[in-house]
Amino acid sequence: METSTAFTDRLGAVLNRPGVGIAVFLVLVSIAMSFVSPFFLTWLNWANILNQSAFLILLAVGMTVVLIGGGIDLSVGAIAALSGGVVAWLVSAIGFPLPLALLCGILAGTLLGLLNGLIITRLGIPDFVTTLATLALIRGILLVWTQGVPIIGYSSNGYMMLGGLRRLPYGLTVPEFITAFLVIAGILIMRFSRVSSHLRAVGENPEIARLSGVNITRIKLASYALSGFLAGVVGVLLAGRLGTVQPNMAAGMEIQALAAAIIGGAALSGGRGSLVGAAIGALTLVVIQNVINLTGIPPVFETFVIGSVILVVITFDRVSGIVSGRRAQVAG
Amino acid sequence: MKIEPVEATHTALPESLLQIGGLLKRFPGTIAVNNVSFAIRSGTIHALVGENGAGKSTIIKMLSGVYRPDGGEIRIKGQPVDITSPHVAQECGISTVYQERTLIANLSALDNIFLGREILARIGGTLGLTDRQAMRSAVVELCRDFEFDPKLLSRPVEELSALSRQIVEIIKALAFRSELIILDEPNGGLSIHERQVLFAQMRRLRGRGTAVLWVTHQLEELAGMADEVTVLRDGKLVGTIDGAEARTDRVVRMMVGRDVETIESFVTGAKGSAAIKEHGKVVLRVEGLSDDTDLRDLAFTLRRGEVLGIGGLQGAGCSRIVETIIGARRMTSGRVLLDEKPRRIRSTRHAFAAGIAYVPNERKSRGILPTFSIAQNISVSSLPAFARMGFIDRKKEASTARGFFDALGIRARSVGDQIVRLSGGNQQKAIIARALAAKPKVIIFNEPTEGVDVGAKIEIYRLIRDYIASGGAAIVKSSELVELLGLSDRVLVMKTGRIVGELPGLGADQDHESATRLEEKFMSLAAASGVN
Ligand SMILES: Nc1ncnc2c1ncn2[C@@H]1O[C@H](COP(=O)(O)OP(=O)(O)OP(=O)(O)O)[C@@H](O)[C@H]1O
Ligand SMILES: [Mg+2]
Repeated sequence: METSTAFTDRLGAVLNRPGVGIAVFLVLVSIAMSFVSPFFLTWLNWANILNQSAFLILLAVGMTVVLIGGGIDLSVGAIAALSGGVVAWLVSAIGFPLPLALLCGILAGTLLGLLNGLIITRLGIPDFVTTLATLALIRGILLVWTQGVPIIGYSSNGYMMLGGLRRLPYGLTVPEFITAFLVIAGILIMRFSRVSSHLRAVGENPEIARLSGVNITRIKLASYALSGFLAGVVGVLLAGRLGTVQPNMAAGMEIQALAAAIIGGAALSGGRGSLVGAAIGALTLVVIQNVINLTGIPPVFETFVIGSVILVVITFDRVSGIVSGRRAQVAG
Repeated sequence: MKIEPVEATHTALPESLLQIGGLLKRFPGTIAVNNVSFAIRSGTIHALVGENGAGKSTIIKMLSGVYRPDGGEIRIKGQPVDITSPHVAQECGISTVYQERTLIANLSALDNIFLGREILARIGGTLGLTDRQAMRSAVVELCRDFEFDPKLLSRPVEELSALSRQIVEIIKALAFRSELIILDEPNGGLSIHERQVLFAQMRRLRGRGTAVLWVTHQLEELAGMADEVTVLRDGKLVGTIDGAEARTDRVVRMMVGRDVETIESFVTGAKGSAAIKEHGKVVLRVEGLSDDTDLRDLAFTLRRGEVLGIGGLQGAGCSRIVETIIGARRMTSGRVLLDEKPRRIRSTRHAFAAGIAYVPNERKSRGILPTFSIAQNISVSSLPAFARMGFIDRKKEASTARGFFDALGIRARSVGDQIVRLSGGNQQKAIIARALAAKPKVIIFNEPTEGVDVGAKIEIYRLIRDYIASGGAAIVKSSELVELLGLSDRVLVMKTGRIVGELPGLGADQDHESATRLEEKFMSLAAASGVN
């Protein structure tokens, strides 16, 4: 009796962790798909999925950090595009060596993120409004700057390798390693550093965070700078993969990143979210695209399917939240 | 009416740790703290008392860096300090338990305790890496003292009971070696036992040379605990007196400027008057109520014109019963009948619609809608009555609210003010007004006078009596024995989820037993040994 309630309690707690719902969903879809398409569970297919999801995972992780801190960053797609543009331009027009150009690109992304943070904390403009504006602003700058013409002529073998267009042994790619490294570093920081609790506190209740002596401004700035940094990394890698920088590069990726973060357990109301969940969420979105390709469902259905998945996963979370919410009062 | 002369404040003794001089804080429409000066010495417990709205919390917030004073100065060890933020206050050696809840729901108890003051790891500390082991061992002892299972330290506080959360708040302040610990009504929701632990901790701090600034409305606690008592009235200093001289009647006189009926005399004054009172027909009947915790097969009735008390030790299930009746918790079996008709009540909204109004405990987190005006807070549970063609009739809402202001003596600038601007006692009256505005058949009070000053307490008791006299019926859950026995016609005594006995209330007691005798009976029922 004792042990069985302890077990269901623990099961409830595990199910209620952010990201667990979506992980279960991902496993179920994969099992189902292995019956539909023999190709699905091959290494080659998964190498593709991983290669395609590396960028979205990074953006989703950045988005999650911002969401936990009570913000939202709609400008990540635009920042990625501008960062990519900076690298492409520096290499092709100025003749910068690639490593230096990459650094400049990532720095540009980080500074733009910081700018978001400064507008939000110094001018007190809401996060949503600020990043909606900078999304348009940055994209606009890129359009004016390129006059709508793609930047070309910067590609090289090394850059293609870096962007994941060329593969390493076993079909692995460089962006996968970069993503894995950054995500693991992020998870470790969230696990062992005080930044994590400060971020959650600021996101859930800034007033209480302030009473406790947390520097809210610094936390907010750091979260947006991080999001900008990750968008910058994505942008410069994407420029390498694509070989040209279109002014509308990475357009709409902010929405995908947001979707991935939310199905991974992040709350728009702040204070909650999980980096692992975000990564799994991003992976799920790419798997769905993959499934659609493999099963021959017309690609026009993709957006519809993704919308449904978001609803299903959120509903699942809500229901398990209500169940464990009832449970919560018992404890302590 | 005798005006107490303003007593000499303690002059700057060399050992005074903190001195405030001419402190001033204005809010739109009020001067919350008006030229207040006193000194707190190391190694003493300094009580700060006054009616609701007297300015106690405002002073505390200025000492803790939440508000900036509009005038006056704060000195620590003789040096003027400018406490510009809570962080600066911490660095000045000041730790505070605020009257409001200050925990982050989604963080573990341990993370909450150390939020903003984490112990950093020796390696990687500059990167913000924390030493969880060190943090844990720093508070394990305190947890034991408060009988708070250290295993719960890693649980998110949203999963903890209200009592455990309050203990976490206290540990959060005590965990650091501070020179001044400020406790703003720390014992809200604590049972007798935890209160004793808290007092023991306060004495221990005093023994260590720490200064404790302590706000309480439980004036009878002052005499044994406080070394000095500073009394405020309407934002002004009345005086600082020696703890040994702080008899309740004297303090009350200083607080309100006149003699006030004590709770005991109010309660016993009604003695006998209700004794022969005929109660009407049954309005609320509870049958076979059980839930997934230890509530088992509870049955009782409530008649018109009756006050039914529910009491017991912490964890006996008193709160859970009332929360189950009003639909905030689920029952696994049993039913609730209203006017002898079974009703399924699944939320407080259903309860209000069915005619059961609820006055929740933990006002700050559950009672008020903080961003709404006082008038909106009063009308929110009975909006249909204020609706005109789908819109809320704001004029009617305001005039109703004004009616309650007069009837209940709510003190505020205007009904359109945000409710958080009110002091605790006035917020509580507004919430009772909300219940009354719904014109319910039954009102369920969960700790009706939590954080309410002596004068307002009696006013609230009057409100409850008046409501009963006008044909209402009420259930009162209270952990204050005088209140419970004094207000109720009958008291159900709970223990481990079961009703273990019924006592008459003081007023309805046919045998005219003394209050102490009744209290003894209550305690022996509630704490009877047996499987626990
Ligand atoms: N943020 C605020 N804005 C406007 N007025 C406020 C604010 N905080 C407090 N007040 C007002 O200042 C006065 C003092 O309030 P304070 O909270 O200090 O009282 P208190 O003595 O702590 O009362 P209680 O015992 O109810 O906690 C009250 O009149 C209150 O309405
Ligand atoms: Mg107060």
